[in-house]
Amino acid sequence: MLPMATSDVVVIIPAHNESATVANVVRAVRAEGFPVVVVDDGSTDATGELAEQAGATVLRLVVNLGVGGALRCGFRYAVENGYRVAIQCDADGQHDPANIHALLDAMSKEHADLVVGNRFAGGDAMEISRSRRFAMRVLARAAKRANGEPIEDATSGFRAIASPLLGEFAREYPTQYLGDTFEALVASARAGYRVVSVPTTIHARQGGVRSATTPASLAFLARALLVVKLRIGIRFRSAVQAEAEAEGGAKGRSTGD
Amino acid sequence: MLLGSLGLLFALSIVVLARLQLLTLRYTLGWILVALTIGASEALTGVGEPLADALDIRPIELLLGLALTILLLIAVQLSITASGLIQTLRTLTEAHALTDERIRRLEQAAAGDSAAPSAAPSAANEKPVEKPVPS
Repeated sequence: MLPMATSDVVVIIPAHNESATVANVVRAVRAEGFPVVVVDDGSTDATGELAEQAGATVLRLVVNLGVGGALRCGFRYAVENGYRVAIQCDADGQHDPANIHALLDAMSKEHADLVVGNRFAGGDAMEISRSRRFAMRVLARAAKRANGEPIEDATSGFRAIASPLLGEFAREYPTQYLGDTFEALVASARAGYRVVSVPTTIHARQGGVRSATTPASLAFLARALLVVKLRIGIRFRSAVQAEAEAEGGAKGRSTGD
Repeated sequence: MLLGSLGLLFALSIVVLARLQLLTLRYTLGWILVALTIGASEALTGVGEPLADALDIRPIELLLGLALTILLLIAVQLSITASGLIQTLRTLTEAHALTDERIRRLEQAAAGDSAAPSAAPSAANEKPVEKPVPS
């Protein structure tokens, strides 16, 4: 990971019917000095318009692709527009944009490709149900097995992703529930990318509803663990390979090959 | 006789669906082949008798087993097709969103040019001033 400037960073916010919160989130992120891309995931309310008025670039998906699909679109935008780091942030106001600097700081210091914001180690640790705590422990254990070092909050949607992993995410990204968080993390670690975790603060949801009920969450948990165990999910090119190809491409472009 | 009639009826239904443009040629031909197989299955039962004897099962069981295998293969093939189509839909939707954003940006720039040639870019698309990330 090379030293970066804020102009290398873009914040990607997937949003589906988040008109109650998206404008405030966009304004808060812009106040931190970062450009914002809101991926309007087939919203039927004014999410896109409000995000645009608040100063975001808006990518409008004409059909709902789910969080993973919206994120991949955002990653593609980031790569096509020359950004080297993408921050993934929720539109419901749970993530504190002030913590973006902590994610970037950890990325620079730890030479990390993926930094995950840990919602359970910050100042206002999130209160969660017992079943959810159990699920998160199971996922954290599986994540640690793939990554070597612990990632307590493997389902956190507050992350920083650096090139060349960003390019891999733009090429292929899991789209199922838990795929966009846990599976992407495990696949990154298995491909040799450095994944670290930093404490972040979390706020109560300012609007919207949880994306899955408890039975559905348990089914998704079982599915995600099966996918990871059987290694039938998405596979990223190795960090070394992606780096070499990126360097080769840059060299080719500079020499006019 | 019963299976023959069933096969014929099935084949006719497929032709009607194809004429209504509800089935592409590729699937029409595949299903007509299945219909013909159903129609000819009574005759095939006789042909399969030695094999059924060798497997120590009744010819009708052999026929049902083959039919089930064919249907499973068709289901898997359709799942592969559906998976590919979902991937294509995702890619096209993303490409549409990215292109739409570029067009809107160009339209805004063109509108700005015609109104005031030195107009600054919109706040949304303006890259922030380059400053190092604190470490």
